[in-house]
Amino acid sequence: METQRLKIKDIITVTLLALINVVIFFASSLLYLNPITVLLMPVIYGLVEGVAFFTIGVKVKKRGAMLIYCVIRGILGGYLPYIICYILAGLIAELIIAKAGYGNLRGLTFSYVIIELLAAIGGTFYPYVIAADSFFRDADALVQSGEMNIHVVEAADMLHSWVCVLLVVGIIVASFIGALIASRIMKKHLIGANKGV
Amino acid sequence: MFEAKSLAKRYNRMEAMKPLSICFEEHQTYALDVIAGGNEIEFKLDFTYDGMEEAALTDVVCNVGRGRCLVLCGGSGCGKSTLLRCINRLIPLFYEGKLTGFCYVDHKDVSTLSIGEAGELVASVFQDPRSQFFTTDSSSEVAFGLENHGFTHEKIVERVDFVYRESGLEKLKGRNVFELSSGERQLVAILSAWALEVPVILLDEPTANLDSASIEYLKKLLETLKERGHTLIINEHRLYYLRNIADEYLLMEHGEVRARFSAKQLLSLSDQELAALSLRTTDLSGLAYTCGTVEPDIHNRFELLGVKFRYKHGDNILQNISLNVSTGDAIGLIGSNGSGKTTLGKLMAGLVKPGSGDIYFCGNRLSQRKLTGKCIFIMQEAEFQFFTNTVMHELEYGKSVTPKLRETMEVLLVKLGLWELRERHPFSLSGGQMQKLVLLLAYLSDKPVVILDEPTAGLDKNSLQCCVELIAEMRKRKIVFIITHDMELISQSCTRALYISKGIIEREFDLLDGEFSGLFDFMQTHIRLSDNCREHAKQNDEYLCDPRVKLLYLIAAVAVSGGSLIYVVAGAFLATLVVCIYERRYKVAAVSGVTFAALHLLHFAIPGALTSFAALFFPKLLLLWTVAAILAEGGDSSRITAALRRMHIPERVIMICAVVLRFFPVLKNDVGLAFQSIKTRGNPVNIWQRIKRLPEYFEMVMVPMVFRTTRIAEALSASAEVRGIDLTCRRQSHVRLHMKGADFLFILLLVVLSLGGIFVV
Repeated sequence: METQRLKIKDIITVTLLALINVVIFFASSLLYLNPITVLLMPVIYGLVEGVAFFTIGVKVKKRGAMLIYCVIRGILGGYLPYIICYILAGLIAELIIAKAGYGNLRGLTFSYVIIELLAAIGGTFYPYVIAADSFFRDADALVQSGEMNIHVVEAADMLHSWVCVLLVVGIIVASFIGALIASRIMKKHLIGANKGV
Repeated sequence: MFEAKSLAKRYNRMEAMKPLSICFEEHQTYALDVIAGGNEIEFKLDFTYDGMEEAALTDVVCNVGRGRCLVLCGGSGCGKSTLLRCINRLIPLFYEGKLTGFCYVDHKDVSTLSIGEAGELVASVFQDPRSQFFTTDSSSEVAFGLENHGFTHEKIVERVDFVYRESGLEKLKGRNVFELSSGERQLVAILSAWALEVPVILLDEPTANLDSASIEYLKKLLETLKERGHTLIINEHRLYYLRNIADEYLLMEHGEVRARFSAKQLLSLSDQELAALSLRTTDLSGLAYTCGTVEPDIHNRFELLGVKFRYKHGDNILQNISLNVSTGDAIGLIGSNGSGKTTLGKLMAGLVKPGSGDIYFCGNRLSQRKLTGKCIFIMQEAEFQFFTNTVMHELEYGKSVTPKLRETMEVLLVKLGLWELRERHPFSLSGGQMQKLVLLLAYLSDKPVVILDEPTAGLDKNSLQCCVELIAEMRKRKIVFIITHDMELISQSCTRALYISKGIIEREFDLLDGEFSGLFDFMQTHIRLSDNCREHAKQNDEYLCDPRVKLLYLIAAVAVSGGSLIYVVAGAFLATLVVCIYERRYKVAAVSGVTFAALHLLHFAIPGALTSFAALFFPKLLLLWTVAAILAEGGDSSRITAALRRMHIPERVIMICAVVLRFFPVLKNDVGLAFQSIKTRGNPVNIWQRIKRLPEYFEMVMVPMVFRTTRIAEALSASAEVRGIDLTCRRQSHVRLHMKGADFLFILLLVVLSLGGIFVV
């Protein structure tokens, strides 16, 4: 029976494949320059990060691989809430994959959507909605004293309402599409006989 | 399951010492020498990879005496690398499968050892120097195995200094591995093996990517190792440089030993006899120039006028390159590793933009975009150029396949020995098979200019001949450029050769006009390791802050970025700026300082939702970026690794950190290569077509990336395992860290400024 313990080869494979998504993350960091495109980042990540994630799931069918992926992705994001959310997502993904079976595409799809959603909560919702909420708690007083512009409060209000819901739906749909694309690529190139493993 | 002990008992050891059956009739009388001093290695091995029906090794029996050199030769895929993997225990512990037989090294049964423990007897050097390095500094790379085997700091420093001094390669010491050429990296890899002081060293095609100067250095290094009593087993296609080193040659075919030759016997074979055994020449000085003229079917002209190129923040790689080529020509671009040949090739193919100068095709000046429609560049990294899931689909990609074209493809596949593999996934092919497939892609391309980068790296004699024939065919319709170090290829395929050094075409050889011998002599004397024009920038250690302090800054940055206390962020940022200035990272300090100030000024000058958000959130990102920049230390990760080790962080976590720091720049570069590959294989398209084909492009970038990454992961982990990364002994580092007064001041500064921020709030 094959051992479930991660070998050096598995750890290095997971690390390097996770780095592909980190490279994508850094390459799209220009989107951070605009508060509107910042909100779209998790949607874009959901679409494109699936291939490296699914490759890990298909090639390293062992306990701990997804957690390592999430820890690397989180830590290299550098932002504390993002790191915490990623680690939490990694633990959930481990549970789902252990239940669904290692290498199972349905389990990977479900895990991927959850990871992308939690990453968005840590990387986008927290700084722009939750943390902003505490920052703007005394907004009225600050506006009256002239320390803060009224537009900031308006923008924060906007994020609290319909944009939030739309964003959550967008992230789930985009990561599901990303997972479908990745599954198709896995079936074409990696899974089954005579593939490029 | 390895059944060495029981099999060894059953197996009659005397039987193994009998002469092996030799298929080559002139050598039927050859018998194994009686080895003075005893056997260093003895083995009898059978192996089948998991999931494969055919055995990779069948009854491979051999013994090698202490201090002798055995060369494994034979065609690609004959089992040479598999045999080396059995000796260093990568088989069956890393590459799984069914292994039977036995293998003794220095009278020890290796079947009882882990890969790391076998590394105390056998050191290994792999083929691709780009993916076997674990660290970013050449000294740390040599020290890596010593650290894993539990040597003390003093002993590690002594051994590292010793091998650099004794090899005469001190100029490579303490260099950033990204600045080293392939040849220099391979030499460092051999020094890493030597430093371990093990009796046996295995080398797997060590010259596959090397120029003549590097091969000359490698040869001297191998002679030194042999003089010092190391036993060498070398898997190699290029045999000429081993003339005075090899004692015996083991010829393999289909996983079996076909013949065993003494050095004298093999060297007495003519080139024709060697070719019949799929072996390359043993004597380059005997090479004859056999390339002839061809009558082209069409007449095109390709010109470069005053082309210059420099990378960002770098010196000029190419200066004022001008040349004029017509269909029927095959131009060899020669020069040392790192002299700018590949950059020139990419420039001609429109993959990089020249700083100045013009490129013309048939008298028309071409823009960079139009160039991609005229030229195809076949990269050394073959795997980046495959987009589909079978060999046949790969040939058909982007073409309207007519019955005639299909017939041509089938003939070519048969000719190159790829017909049986036509339904295989391109990424499942061996390195040599991939090389042949990309050559076919070049041959079948409609583009009139073909640029081949090291097309024969790792090819056996038969494959080399196929390559030569294809190039001869291509010359009838195309202009061919060949970037190569391979004299055997130049002698059969090139009409002219251009020697590139220090960014210019230093000399031109008209080979059709009888200048081949001149070129040969020139290459022996002029190609030097020092021609590598990559920038050599070394940071002054005196002004480097202790990495533990930097890790503290990182933790602080991550912690404060999670909150919304902007004055605390400002305090931490100010402290980080001071560290930046102390380390002479003026550019980083200026960029981050100015951006930080601009964000806040903008907020005050133009109050609005966007500027307020920007002033609130972006300084946190800026802080993290600045800390990451100082933590990177110009690409040297060895101090960070040493710091983590001093902090008693588990070795597996340190390993992950080392891989991240080492390979982040590599993967960034690979993404660039994947895009270049799409550009060169396709035809220029407008923005709308690009958007329409976005899903296809996405797959074309991501699939080669993940396959290449998994290959790197395999090579890197194999290289790390044989150097003992999995051993559990207590490790000391090559780098010694000392906290200075300045380091304590920086900690104080961080605390004071951050706490100051809290009080301001």
